[in-house]
Amino acid sequence: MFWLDRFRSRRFERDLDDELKFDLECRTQDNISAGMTPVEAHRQALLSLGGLEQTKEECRDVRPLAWIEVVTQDVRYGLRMLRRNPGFTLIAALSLAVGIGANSAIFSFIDAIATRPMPVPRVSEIIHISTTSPQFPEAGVSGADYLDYRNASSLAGVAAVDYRGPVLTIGDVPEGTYAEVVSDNFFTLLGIEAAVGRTFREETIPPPVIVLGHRFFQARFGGDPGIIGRGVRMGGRIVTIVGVAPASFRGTRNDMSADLWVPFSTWGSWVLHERRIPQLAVIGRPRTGVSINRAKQELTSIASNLARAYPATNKGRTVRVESDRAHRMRAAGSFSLVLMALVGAVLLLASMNVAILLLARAETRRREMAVRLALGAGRVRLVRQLLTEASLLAALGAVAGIALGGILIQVLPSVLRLGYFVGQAELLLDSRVLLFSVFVATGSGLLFGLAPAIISARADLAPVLKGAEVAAGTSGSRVKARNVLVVLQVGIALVLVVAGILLARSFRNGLKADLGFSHNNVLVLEIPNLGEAGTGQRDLLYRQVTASIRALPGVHSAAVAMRPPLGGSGGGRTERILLPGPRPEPVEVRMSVVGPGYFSLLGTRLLRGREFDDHDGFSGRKVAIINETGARRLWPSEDPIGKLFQTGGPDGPAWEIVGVSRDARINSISEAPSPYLYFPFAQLNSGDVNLLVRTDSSPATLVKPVRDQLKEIDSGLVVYASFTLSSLVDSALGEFRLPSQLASALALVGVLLAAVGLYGVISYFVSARTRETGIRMALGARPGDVLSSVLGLTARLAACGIALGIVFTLAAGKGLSSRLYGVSARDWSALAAASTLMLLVALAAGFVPARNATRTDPALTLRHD
Amino acid sequence: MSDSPKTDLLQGTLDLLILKVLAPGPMHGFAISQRIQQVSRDILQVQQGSLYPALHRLERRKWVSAEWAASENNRRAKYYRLTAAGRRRLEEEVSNWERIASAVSLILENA
Repeated sequence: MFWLDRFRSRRFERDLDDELKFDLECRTQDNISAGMTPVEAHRQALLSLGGLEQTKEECRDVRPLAWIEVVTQDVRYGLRMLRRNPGFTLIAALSLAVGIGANSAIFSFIDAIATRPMPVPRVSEIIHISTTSPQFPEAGVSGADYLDYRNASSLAGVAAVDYRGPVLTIGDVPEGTYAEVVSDNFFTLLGIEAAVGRTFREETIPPPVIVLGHRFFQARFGGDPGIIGRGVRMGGRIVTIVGVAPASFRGTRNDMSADLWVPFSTWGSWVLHERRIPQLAVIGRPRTGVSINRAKQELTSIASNLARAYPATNKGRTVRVESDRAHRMRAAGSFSLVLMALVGAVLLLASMNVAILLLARAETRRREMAVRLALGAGRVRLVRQLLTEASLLAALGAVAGIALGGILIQVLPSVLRLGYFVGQAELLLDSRVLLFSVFVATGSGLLFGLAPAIISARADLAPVLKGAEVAAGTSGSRVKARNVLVVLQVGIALVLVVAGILLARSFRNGLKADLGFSHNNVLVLEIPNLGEAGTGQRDLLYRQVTASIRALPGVHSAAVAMRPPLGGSGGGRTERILLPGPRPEPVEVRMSVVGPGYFSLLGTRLLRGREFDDHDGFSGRKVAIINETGARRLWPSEDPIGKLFQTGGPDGPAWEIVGVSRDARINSISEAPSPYLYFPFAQLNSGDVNLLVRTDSSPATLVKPVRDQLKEIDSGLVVYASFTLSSLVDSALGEFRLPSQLASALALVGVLLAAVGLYGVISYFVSARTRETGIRMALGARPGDVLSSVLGLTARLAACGIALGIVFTLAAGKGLSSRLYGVSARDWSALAAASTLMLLVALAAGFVPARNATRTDPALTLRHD
Repeated sequence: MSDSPKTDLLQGTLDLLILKVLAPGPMHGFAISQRIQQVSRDILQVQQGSLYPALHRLERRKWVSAEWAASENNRRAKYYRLTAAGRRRLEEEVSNWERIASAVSLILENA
């Protein structure tokens, strides 16, 4: 752009020259016609022009500067100012870098797990259909309901997704996978073309096929396109690989990367006839020109028709229709909001720091500003100049911040053990994150740049030009603005510290929580196809497995269960049970299926009755165990032992309660105890199977012997994953650990930023009062007096900030309370601790400048002016 | 800067004169100054140091437009032309001037 600029002004100069030269010639000619000699005529003409250069200069002044020239000038000037004050520039840019970097990293984190849209064409048209009911408040859609929703005329298509974990046997090697079982129209509806081969077709008699995920294709088949058409074994049958999805499409969930897609026709479409359990994720696309609202109306009316037609399953079930964005925002949840608020507070602190620094510097530039104003610079121009400097700082901070964000994104997942939240989500520094960072930087630039610029440009000319420096730093809107800023900073930092303390305390409470089971030295092996065997065989197989594992040296005991506690699967299935009575009302209760010895292995005490044993076989009397909360809810003030209930409707089997167990955590550490039923492994097919092994010493050493033993029993048994129960507990603690770590880190950064702000304000205060201090010391003030007066000011500012922060905290407490465990958002001891900390930090920040003040040499300062 | 009111008045008047002179058709700077001098019977002599900045100012305000063309003696000269906005401005300035002139003459005659 510079060349264009130069070109423009060069042409302007040439034109001006030509114009004035022409005038001169005309005038000379005129004078000659009037009878002058040529020399005299030229002289007179020049005289009448009244100073050629001056005229040119006046013409130039009139000419508007091209905006690019103005900006170039401002930027050059701004860069010079930043270079001239490297300390200021460094602190300001670092503050911003920390603020922007933290925001970029947190945004990329939230974007990765939640808000990033599916990479499909015209994603804004995609709708997510789910249902809510009193029993399943956050549910998907049942298969039979899905088939009915397919009839909606306002929708171009509806696809269903079920999340499954089939074992794929490639060659002779069985391998656990994560699959999305989908309707045939899944890929066409989303508009996804296969990268290799084809996707699914709607066929009357579909052959068994699968489409591979790109990652899985690369990892397992080395990206060899020759595998198209090859058969692999899945769940006892051969399926054909027909295609590979593009690398950009990893499935419908942000936190999981699908290894493969299986059509319902291949997987088994029984789930599509099931109306009770709303477990399918359903995606739709309205017809062209049909609004989401219109689609929603139709789906809602279908849902109410279903509720009338099938009251047993659909009563109280309502449909929820969301745009892709809304769906993902809901998934982001309250934690994301808390996180964004905390990290936003850090950015605010950083911006305020820069504002304080700019204001302090504006003070030292008062004379410069006044001179420029007196020389005729417009105030708008000055504001623009100062804003340009602020923008340069913001740009500097943004570049450094994005770099820092990039590093944080690399480092955070392992440091903070993000796996619990992130799963397989990809943290990316992509265009969305960059856009967000630029947006944040621009916002903060305006925030910290505008106010100081306006206040500075409002300078009073006369006193400054007359050399009045006495009043500097003691009066005026700049000082007020600075004090307000630093008070706000202390307040905001206090909020961060309180949040850090409360979340850390929640973490500690989580660590100490009584889980209802003991997790040390327990090995968990996921063996899904142990459940695939036929009903009778299954019974035999698990008996054989548990018996032979128990016999291994170093093994204390072994038991099977549908799911380990805190397994993160949402608590397992629910069973609809009927209690005998005059008008049986079905109750939905979550349940697990466990084998003999499960309770004693986990150390979960039975309060009454007994646990399952080998006599509770397939053909024996049907029995169940209920937890204490369930017993209290279902049979209040009665002895639950011997009570009966039915599953599978009025004609279903009856079960007898034989034991009451202590409550144990099921899904998360912070959950409130809820009713929970246990069924014997031999009497109910569980699908998923986990083998729990309690060991005498470290469980890790037994992984191999147990695996070998399993292989010996049946080479087809696949150990999907093996982990310790302690690691599950550790993962579950992630719900406290991550907020606690992040909040503590942000609190630390916040306190540092506030300390820098305080330091800046107090230093400026001291340096502006050097003369006054000198006079006071000359009049006999001792260093101690000076020290205490400066520290007094610091303490006053800090106290105001702390008071403000306490108000903030009490107001913001509600937002945090959903993340707290065993501690109240209005915990006075946390407030007291945070206040003390902030006061100490403030005094420390004020001490250095205060001590400098005591070293004022009276003679030197008085001689200064 | 104590002389600025006087400058303002002169400047405003000069603008009016330039606009008026340009009303019949385009002219270059020298011709404008000649014309003013001639029509005012040599009473008003426009200094070149005021004329050209004034022309540039009027051009910037889009009351006149400028283009380069051959002069009567076949030289390249910058011709100024009244724009539509300039014409409206001229009408305003004229009526303004007439109001002030009549007000001043009222005072001179009756006070």
